Amino acid sequence: MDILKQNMISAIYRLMIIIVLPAIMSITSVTHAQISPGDLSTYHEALEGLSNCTKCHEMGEGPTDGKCLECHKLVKRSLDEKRGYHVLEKKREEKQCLVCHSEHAGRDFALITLPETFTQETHGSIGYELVGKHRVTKCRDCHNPANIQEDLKSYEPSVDMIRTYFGLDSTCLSCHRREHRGQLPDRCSGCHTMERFKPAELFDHDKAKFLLTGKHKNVDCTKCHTTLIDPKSKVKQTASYTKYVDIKHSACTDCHKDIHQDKFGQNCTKCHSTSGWLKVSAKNFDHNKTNYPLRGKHTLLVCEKCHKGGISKKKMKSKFCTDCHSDLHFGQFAQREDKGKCESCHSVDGFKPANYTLADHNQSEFKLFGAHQAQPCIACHTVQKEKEKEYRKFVFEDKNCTGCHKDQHNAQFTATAPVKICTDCHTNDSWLIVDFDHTQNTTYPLEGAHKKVACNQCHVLQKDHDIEGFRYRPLGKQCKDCHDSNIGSLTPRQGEI
Amino acid sequence: MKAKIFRITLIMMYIVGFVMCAYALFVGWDYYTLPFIERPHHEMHQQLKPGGPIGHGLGIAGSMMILLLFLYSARKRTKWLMRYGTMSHWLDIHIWFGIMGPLLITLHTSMKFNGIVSISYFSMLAVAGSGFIGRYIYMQIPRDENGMELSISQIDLTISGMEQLLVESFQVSPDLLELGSKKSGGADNKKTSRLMIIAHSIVADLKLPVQLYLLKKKILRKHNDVPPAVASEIMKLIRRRSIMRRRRNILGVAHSVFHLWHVIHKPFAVVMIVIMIGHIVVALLMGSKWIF
Repeated sequence: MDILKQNMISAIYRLMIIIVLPAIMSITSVTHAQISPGDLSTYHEALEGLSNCTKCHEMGEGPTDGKCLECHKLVKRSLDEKRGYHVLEKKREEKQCLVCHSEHAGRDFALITLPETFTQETHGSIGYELVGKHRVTKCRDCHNPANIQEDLKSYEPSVDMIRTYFGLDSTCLSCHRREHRGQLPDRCSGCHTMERFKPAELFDHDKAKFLLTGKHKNVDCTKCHTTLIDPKSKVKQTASYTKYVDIKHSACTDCHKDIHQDKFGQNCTKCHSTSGWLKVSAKNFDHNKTNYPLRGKHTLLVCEKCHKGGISKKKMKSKFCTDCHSDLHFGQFAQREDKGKCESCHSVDGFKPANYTLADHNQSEFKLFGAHQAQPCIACHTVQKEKEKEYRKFVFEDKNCTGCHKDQHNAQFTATAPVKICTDCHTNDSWLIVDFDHTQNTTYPLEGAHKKVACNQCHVLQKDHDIEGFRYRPLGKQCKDCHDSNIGSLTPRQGEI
Repeated sequence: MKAKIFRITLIMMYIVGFVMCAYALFVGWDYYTLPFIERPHHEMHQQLKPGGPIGHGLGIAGSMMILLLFLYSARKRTKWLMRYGTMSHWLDIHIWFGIMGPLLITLHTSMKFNGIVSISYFSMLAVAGSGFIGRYIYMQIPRDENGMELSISQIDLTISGMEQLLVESFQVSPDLLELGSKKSGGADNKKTSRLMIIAHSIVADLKLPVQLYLLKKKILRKHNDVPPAVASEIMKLIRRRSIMRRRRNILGVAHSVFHLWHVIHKPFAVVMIVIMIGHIVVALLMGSKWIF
C-alpha cells in the first residue's frame, strides 16, 4: 500500500513538472516569438509569428537571398543591372544578405549600417564619385525623399522612402533646384564646379552671344543679369532667380541710359568704346552736334585742352569765353554796356588781332585822329604790371594829352597864367606842327624882323633848375633880355645850352 | 589499476573540457558581453552567433553530450550494457557529460535565453543542478566496488570489521572509537523531516574533517609512540567507520530522498530533451545545417 501510495505521489509530481513547469516558463516568454531566436527589427515587425517564418527562411535552406529579394525588389533590380552598392559588396566578397542585414537582434536593431570602409571617398566605386562639397555633405542630405524622382513605390510598395538609398540619379537636378528655371540647358557642370555653385567658375562669357570686352569684363554680373521672381515658387527664400536669356543687347542703350537724349543717334560705338564711357574717340565724334560747336581755332585744339582730366559726365559750361579762358584784361571792360563780352572784340579765329577797329575806337570816349590813327595799339595800350598781374591798359582815367604824353614844356604853360593846354598850340597831326598866333596869344607881338626869326632864336634850349628844354615862360620882353651890344646877335642867357 | 587509469582519464577529461570552454569564453568574451542589439555588428558575430559555425558547433557538441547522458539511464535498465564498466564509472561519465554539455550549450546560446527553447535550457540547468544534489544523496547509500547497494547486514558487517581492526590490530581504545562515532555526526531521529536529516548529514560531512583532526591529536597525545603512517591509517579507518555508521543510520531516509530526487530530476530531463529535440527540428527546418 505504501509503495502504491508513494508511486502515485511520484507520478503526480512528475506530471506537474512536465506540464506545469513548461507552461509557467512559457508564460514568462510569451511576449517573445516562441521558436524565434529573437525579435525581428522594427522594419520586419510585421513578419513576426510562426506562420511567417517561411517568408524569409527557405525550408531546409535557411534565410536565402532569393527570399530577401522577393520583397526587396529594388535591391534585386540593382543586382540584375549590376550597379549600385550591393553589387560592389557582392563583388568584394560573395556573401548573403543577412551577413550585413542580420535579423532577430531586437526591435531597435539598425538593420542598415554602412560599413566604416564605405565613406564619401569610396562612394565613387558605386558609380557616382563625390567631389568637392559633396564630400562633406551628409548622406541623408542627398538620400532623402525630396530628391527621389523615381516612383519607387510602384516598383517596391513597401519601400521606406525615408530610409532608402535608392532612387537618386546622377544628374545635378535630381537633387538640386532648377535654379535657372529652364533658361539654360540642364548641363550644370558646363558652368559650375562641385566646389561651389557661385561663382560659376567654368562659365565662359566669350561663348555667349554677347562678348564682354573692356570695362564690361569688370561689371558685376547682376548689373546686367537682373533678379526675377518666380511667381510659381511657394517658398519665398527660393523664389528669386537670375535672368540669363532674352536680355536685349543689340544696342548699348538696352542697358545704358542715353544721356545725350538721342542727339547723336543710337550708335554709341561711333564715339564710345567699352574701354570706358569717357574715353571718346575724337575721330568719329562730331562736336558740332553738341551745344558748343567748334569754330575757328577751337577746331584745332585737342580735346584735353578744354576737357581737362578727360571727358566728364558733368555738363561743361560754354556760355561765356571765360568759362574756359581767363580774362586777360582783368575786368577792364566790365563797365562797358556789353559787360565786356569777349566776342565784341575777339573771335574764335584767334585772340589776336582783336576785331576792334579804328571805327570802333572812334565810338569810344577817346576818338583817334591825326597821328593817333597811325599809332599801333600797343603804343598807347602798354603793358602794366601790378603785383602778379600783367596786362595791357585799356582804361584811362586821364584822357588828356598828358594822360599819355610827357609835358615837353615842363609845366611852363600850366604853372603860370594864362594857362594853356596842348591843343591850344598843337594838333593831332604832329607835335611839330604848331598852330600858334604869337601876336594874338602872347603879350609880345612879333613885329619887324622878329617875324622872320625862327622860334628857337628867341626860345632857346635851356637846361636850368626848373627846365630842360625850350624856354617859353618866363621870358623878358626887353631887348637886352635877348640881344647883347652886338647888333644882330643874341646874348646867351643863363642856363643856355 | 583499471580504476586508477579511469580516474586519471576522467581528470584529464575534466581538464580538457574546462580548458576548452574557458578558451571559447575567452575568445568570445568581447562578443558575449555586448548588448544583443550590437552583436550583429561585431566582427565575430557570423562565427559565434548560435547559428554560426562555431556557435552551432558548440550547440551540436553540447547536445550530443546531453543525449549521451541518457546512456547512463540505459546502462541501468539495459542488460547488455551492464557488461561494460562499473556503475560508478558510468555515473562519473554521466556527470562529466552533465557538466560539459550544459557549458557547451551555454556557449552555444551566446548568453541569449529567450523563446521556447529557453525552457529547455533552464530545464537543463535544473537537471545539472539537481545532479549535484543527487550525486550527494547517491553517495549516502553505501555501495560495493561495482556500485551495488549494500544491505544493512553487509553494512553492519563492514562496520564491525573496521572496529575489530582498530581495536585489535591498532590497539585503539574503544572509548576513542565511541568518541569518534559521536563526532561523526548524523541524525537518525524519526521525528525529524527527511530533508532536515539530509541537511544534518551535509553539515556533519562539512564538520567531519575538523573533528577528525582534533581526534587525531588526542590519539597521538595518548599514544605518543604511534608512527605517523600508522596514525594516518587509523584515522582513515575511523573516518570510514564514522561515515559508514552515519550512512547506515540515515539509510532509510537516503533511499526515500533519492527516490524523491528522481521525481524531480527526470521530469526536468524529459522537458529538456523534448524541447531540445523540437529546437533541433525547427533549426533544421529553418535551414541551420551547420557546416554541411
